[in-house]
Amino acid sequence: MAVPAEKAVISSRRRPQFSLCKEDSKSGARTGCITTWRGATAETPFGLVVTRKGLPSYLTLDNLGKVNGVQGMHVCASHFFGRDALYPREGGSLSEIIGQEDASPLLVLCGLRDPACYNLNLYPAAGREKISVDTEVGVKAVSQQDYIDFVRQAQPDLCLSLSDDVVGSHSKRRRERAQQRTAAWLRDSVKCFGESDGALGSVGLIASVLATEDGEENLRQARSAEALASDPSVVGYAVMGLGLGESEECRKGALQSICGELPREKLRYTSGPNTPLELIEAIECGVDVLDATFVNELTACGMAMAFPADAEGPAVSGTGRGLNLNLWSEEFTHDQGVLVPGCGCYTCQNGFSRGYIHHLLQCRELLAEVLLEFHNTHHMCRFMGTIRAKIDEGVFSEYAKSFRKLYIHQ
Amino acid sequence: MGVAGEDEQKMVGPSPSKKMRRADPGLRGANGKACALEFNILARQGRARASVLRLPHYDCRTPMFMPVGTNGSVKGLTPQQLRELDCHLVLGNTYHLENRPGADIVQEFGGLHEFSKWDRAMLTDSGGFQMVSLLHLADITEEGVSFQSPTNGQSMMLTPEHSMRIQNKLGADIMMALDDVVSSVNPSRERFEEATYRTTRWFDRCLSAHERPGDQNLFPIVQGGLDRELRAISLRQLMERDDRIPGYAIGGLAGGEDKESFWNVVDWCTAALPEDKPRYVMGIGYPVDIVVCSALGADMYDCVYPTRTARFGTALVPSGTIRLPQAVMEGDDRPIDETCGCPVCKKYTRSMLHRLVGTDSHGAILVSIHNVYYMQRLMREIREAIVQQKFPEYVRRFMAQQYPEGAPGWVVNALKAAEIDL
Ligand SMILES: [Zn+2]
Ligand SMILES: [Zn+2]
Repeated sequence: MAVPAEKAVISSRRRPQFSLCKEDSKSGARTGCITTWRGATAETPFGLVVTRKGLPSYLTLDNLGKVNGVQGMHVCASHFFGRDALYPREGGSLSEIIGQEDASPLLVLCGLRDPACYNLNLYPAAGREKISVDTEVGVKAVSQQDYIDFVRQAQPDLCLSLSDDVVGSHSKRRRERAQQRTAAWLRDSVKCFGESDGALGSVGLIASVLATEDGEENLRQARSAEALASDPSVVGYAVMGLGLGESEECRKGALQSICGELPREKLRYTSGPNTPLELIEAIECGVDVLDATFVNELTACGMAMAFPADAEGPAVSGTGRGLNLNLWSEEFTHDQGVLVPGCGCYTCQNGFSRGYIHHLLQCRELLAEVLLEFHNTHHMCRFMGTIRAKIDEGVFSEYAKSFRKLYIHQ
Repeated sequence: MGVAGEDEQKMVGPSPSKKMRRADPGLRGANGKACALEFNILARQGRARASVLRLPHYDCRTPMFMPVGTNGSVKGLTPQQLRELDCHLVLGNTYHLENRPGADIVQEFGGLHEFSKWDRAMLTDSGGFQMVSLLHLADITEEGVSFQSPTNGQSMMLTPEHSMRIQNKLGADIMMALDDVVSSVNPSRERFEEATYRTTRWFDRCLSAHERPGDQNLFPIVQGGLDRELRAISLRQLMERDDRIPGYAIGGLAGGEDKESFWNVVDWCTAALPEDKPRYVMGIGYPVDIVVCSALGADMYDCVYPTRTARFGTALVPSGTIRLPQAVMEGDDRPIDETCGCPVCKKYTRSMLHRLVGTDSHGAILVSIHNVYYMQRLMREIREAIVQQKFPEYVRRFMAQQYPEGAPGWVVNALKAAEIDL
């Protein structure tokens, strides 16, 4: 008997799948692949394009489509606040709202924390069940239910369970409470996804584990989250609470110990590597998906990435100009060269010069940021491609070591 | 994006490659004199005409709207996007470019085309208008426009020779002669009279100073305020030099004059100007004004309005404009314009744009895309209507949409002069 068309569509929707390809023998690094029913695929590890209201800062989606290697976007739920509710006012899924082409969709990962601008728990009085969120329409208190309702409507490919990230030095009690709240929200999310009416059936849940400075506590949290791995809705794990000014060792320690407890076959995400070096370190700890916020930050201050992004690495570094070019600098006034010779991005391929971009910055012309975002996004993707190749070739540790040396040296 | 190119269908012969053209010692105008353009009228209806304006960098189709790229870029749009939006010519502002980065630097980079990587046509203004409108301290003498440098406060002078030197370095396809700009609030006929004669004298100085007549066109500007007699004097004087003029601009408008005077001036000028040369009405960008001027036989327009207004969230639609920041746009899931084929209208609702404009650069870029598309689509429709000999019908339909309650008197009068009954 023929299945009614509508039912057939729903049953064809399934959660994103993650499959592990290769694990590095000397570090936690690994490559893998995410596929969704919509046809989005992403090779891991990769960096998400961090968006504002679902869109890149300056690149229109047709321009983003010109950047080779972009695989996914981070969409922050707090950018979609209505006057009184967390709700996509436009109705419809995020992909529809932001105008994604069906033909070549990018993976959409959604969370409540804004990777580009910290927005959680800045105002403490949200009550036991809620979390306070700084939004464009003021400070809002969001409950687990509000968030799940948003996800149901927004239909991202992946969604992070709520995490109670707190910034700054808090009392031990507050930190414990944050971990308890995060764990409780996770249990509740698994329940919601489990008894889902189908609306959450194609969304992959990323279970948040809140990292703190307390190594013992991190392990306990990771183990209890690990127990949920058998649930089919849990596609992966997120190490949250990082990127908030903690020390390098603290960050690395937390990532290492938590990732060590998590099941190998599940996807891993973390928020907030601030430099290419931190990105490499997170990948060494076994992270698969990261926010590439530094792309936005560099673009916003008129910088172009120029660190070696190719496999040959150090060979290209002979520019003597350091890791990033500051296009505001007067030294570029007469510079007819492209940002990075040989770069395949729209900006460099079409010959836009450092001198022209310097001029556009000085005139506050938006095209400066557009051209820089093209280059920086491309450069980040190229860097990630190199990292994946190095893991696949089994020489990632050596690459990471030489990159670190070069990076710190410069 | 992609816009069906009428240009592919209506090429005037094979187009030589860019390199060939740059080496070309100059195209031959209708009169056989060396100049850097060819103007071929494809179709006429009433006083309106649809033409190909062949410039060193591009075969532009007229009537044409030219977006303004003040500092060598148009509001966050890439050259590729501008091409996809069907822009044929982009305007650069001499005053701004001389301030930053300076014409010498632009020349170092190989000219404005190379500097900004725009491969189609360009036009630069003389710099005079910007000076008079932006700098309160500008003072006009027979020698030129003297002003205080905004950067170092030094007293400086923009002369016709200086303007030519800068524009020759920038290297646009069309340059504008320095004219004596009189503020539209100036009530003195004497001052307008002086400006009219001086504009001609300055044009002669521009002509002698122009060093690249083989690959850059110099347009003079008809002046004379709102005075019919002065306009006639300006027209007569300039047309005495017609063999050295590739095209004419009509200046001194878009300065807040009443609409009746505005169309009258355009009417006098287009009626008097030679048929075989392009006519550029400066500073005109409202869709209604463009349709009226095209009916009166004008060919080229420029205005910052469509892109500047986009930044503040105003979008152009067939019935006029809509203001995206308004609260009523929230929850409105229609595109800006249901009849628009631009990439923004295909993707985004008014509600989404409402949340972006004002706060996010991305919003300004999206509304600019729509507005530039809107203008270029309007121009395409005007050209097609003329070619298909359906221009009066088109104008009637256009005005009915803009003015459902009936067009204002000046539009009715202007169109009557253009042999179109509303
Ligand atoms: Zn590049
Ligand atoms: Zn549109």
